[in-house]
Amino acid sequence: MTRPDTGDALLRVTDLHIDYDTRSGITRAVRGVGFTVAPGAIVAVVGESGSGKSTISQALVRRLPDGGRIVSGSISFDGRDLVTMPDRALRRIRGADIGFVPQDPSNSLNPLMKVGEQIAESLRLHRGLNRADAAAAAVRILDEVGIPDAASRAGQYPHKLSGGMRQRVLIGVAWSCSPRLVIADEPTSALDVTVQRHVLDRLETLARDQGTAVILVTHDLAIAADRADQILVMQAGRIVEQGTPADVLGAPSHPYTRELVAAAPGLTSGRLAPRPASAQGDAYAAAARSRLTLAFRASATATSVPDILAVDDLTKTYSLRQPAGGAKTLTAVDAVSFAVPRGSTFAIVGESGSGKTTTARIAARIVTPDSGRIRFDGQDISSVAGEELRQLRRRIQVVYQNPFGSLDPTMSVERLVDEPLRAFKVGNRSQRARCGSCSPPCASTPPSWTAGPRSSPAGSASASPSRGRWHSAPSCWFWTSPCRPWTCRCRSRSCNCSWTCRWSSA
Amino acid sequence: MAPTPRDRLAASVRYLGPKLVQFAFVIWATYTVTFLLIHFLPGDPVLAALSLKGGDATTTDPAELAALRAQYGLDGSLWQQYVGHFVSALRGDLGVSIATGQPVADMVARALPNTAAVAVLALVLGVVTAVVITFLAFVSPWRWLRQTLLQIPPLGAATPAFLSGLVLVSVFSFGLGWFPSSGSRSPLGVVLPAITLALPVGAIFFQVFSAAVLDARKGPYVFTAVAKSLGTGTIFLRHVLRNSLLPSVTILGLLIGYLAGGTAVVETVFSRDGIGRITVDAVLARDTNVIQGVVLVVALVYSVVNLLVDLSYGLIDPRTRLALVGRRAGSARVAAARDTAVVES
Repeated sequence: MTRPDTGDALLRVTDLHIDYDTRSGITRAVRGVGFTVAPGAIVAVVGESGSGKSTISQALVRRLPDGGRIVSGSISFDGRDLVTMPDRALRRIRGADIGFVPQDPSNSLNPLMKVGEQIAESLRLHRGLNRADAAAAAVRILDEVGIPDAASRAGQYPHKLSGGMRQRVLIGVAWSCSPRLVIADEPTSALDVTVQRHVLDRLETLARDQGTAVILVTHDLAIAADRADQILVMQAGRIVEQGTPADVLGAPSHPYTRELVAAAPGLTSGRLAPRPASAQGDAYAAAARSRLTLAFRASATATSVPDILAVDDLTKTYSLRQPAGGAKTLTAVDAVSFAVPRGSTFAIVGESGSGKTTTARIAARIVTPDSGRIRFDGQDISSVAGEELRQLRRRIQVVYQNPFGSLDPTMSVERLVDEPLRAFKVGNRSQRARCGSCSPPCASTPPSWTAGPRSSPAGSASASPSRGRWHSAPSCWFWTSPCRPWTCRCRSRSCNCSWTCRWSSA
Repeated sequence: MAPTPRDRLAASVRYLGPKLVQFAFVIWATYTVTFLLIHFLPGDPVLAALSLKGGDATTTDPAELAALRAQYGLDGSLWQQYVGHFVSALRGDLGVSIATGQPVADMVARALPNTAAVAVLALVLGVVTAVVITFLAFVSPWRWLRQTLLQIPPLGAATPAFLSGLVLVSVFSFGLGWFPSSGSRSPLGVVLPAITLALPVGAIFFQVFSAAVLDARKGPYVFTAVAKSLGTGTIFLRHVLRNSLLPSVTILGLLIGYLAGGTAVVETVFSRDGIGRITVDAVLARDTNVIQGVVLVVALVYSVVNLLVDLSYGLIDPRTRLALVGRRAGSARVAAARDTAVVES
């Protein structure tokens, strides 16, 4: 257990300030952070994206992105200051005494180097082992982090390993030289829930067995509560609360912590409740909404079909081309049938590779199935094409998983929002412009409407195009894991937003 | 499951087959397009050659003209010429030059080594310089130095070869007397033309290569390497170099094709014999047989280089490597996608 200001701390960060020099001026990412980590303790740093937690983790290995610099403060590791230490001395500590588990397992290994060699490299450098000994030690380490058949896996390239296995290799790299401190920067954010637990278990076991102190940077309060001895809550570059999990989660004193605790799905059992939306203060938006709502109700009462969407016996196979051995068939969706009642929320749950996204795409007529029928609003849409399909797009909308890749980075947020309106020629130019910026049903305020989506945080980035789609009056939405890469608070906001949209149009 | 030799053979054929077909198609298509272009140009090459020798007022005996046509392989219908030239080209016979009377194959064979020497040296100089400048930019601890280094190579692309060639000649031949200014007799004569050509070639390669390197510099796998405390030089050589060569090798194939045919200006400036010189002379003299022969040879070089580039991807990148080379057949991607949970637990 760690208490602030004890003499035996392994790591002591004092009044740390970090700035980023950007084109639009100086961003103060970390403003006066101080904490201590005792030997063998697991300390979780929690906060939403942009709170500065990743910046701290990068500062601890003195490798900030371009433009970032430590303005003041000290990072004392085992009595030596990492901020002012010469490069040569730092390089003896980093990798040997301080390990780092990065965020993104798919890109953090060199794709052109065998995984065993990527561990052995570190052993040769810091332990002075020769080539053969290092290779043998690397296989032992791979075995230790839980990679089955480690000897043959060591000779494979990263692309042959699954995401969870790659993350284990990276954990192996971090622990290869028996460090005293490991910094894990969102080590499981990119992994499936089922895999997450195994990777975290492995990380915790290694830490407890070897007495390694771990700084676990995460946006997931549930993970922090589960694994850490101490939790630091960060907001806007400051630590707003710190203490044991019981203290922080049981009796959060800071309003931000209370909000985080309330938003964490694993910690609270409360369900999201629909919330009425209003379009006060904007006559145009109010009128548009009431028109949409009335039209929707009229169409809902006119038809007697209870289900908005019914799919029957959908099957989709992909043929995977292989350099050797010809094509191999992968059945992504196998005879799937379900029906979605009008005005309801229907969830498809499964781990990655289970075919849930493909099913949703087929139902939205983005992917063509091999066989099966799709009925939408009483009409068979399995084979509609051309203009009819285009009009159908207006009524079926999709919210995508990745807010960073799904938005054209060269378009401003405003243009992204009114693009569907332009495509369907809804309203004239000035109406569309107002629609793009009208009082939004989501509780986020965009930093700048004319800026590109890259400058918005993930949560508002995904909310913005939804808005334009909502204005073109859909009657069915698909959300394909829309909240996965975000922090809890963003998630709950975005889900509330979808609820509001649904509520106001149903 | 180890692949049997029979499996390996089948897989190699499946991998190489389409590439070889593509290779043959490029050669045939180049031949056809050049043939058609030459024959649909107005005027008769043999008459043009005669009038060049004897002046405009030359009278020609029709029988003599027909004999000349037969000698140069330009008699018979268009179709007969098309098939006839192609068949003899396959046998290595590219016909006879109308202007000089020498076999085209001999002329090309004499010129090719000169051009190849300049082109290979230019390529090596260009690529090595580009890699060295990129390396310096990569290891530079200061942003201003990195930015300055990155601004140098576009100069090479912006300077026309006849200007840089003349500057080099006046400094290193007339001024310092280190290298001969012209001709292809002295082995040192290859240096200045090669430097002249290396400027644009290296600059184009640099643009692609340095972009890939600087991209990787901010990338996650370099961060992992930094977290291991590898030295900057080691990171560049062991991790970044090979990854950044992937996009650069593609441009390398295009550059070699450009060098095979694009040495005309340099060979003119430095009065060297070579493929470029022959092409310019042949076009001016309307020597259709030579044009046809040179285009075919250049197309052949270009196609061979691109075939090698395609194969080199497999050497550089294990992801595109033939699965039969590895121990496990390439089912890993499927397995990774579907059976994550099974492997994990």
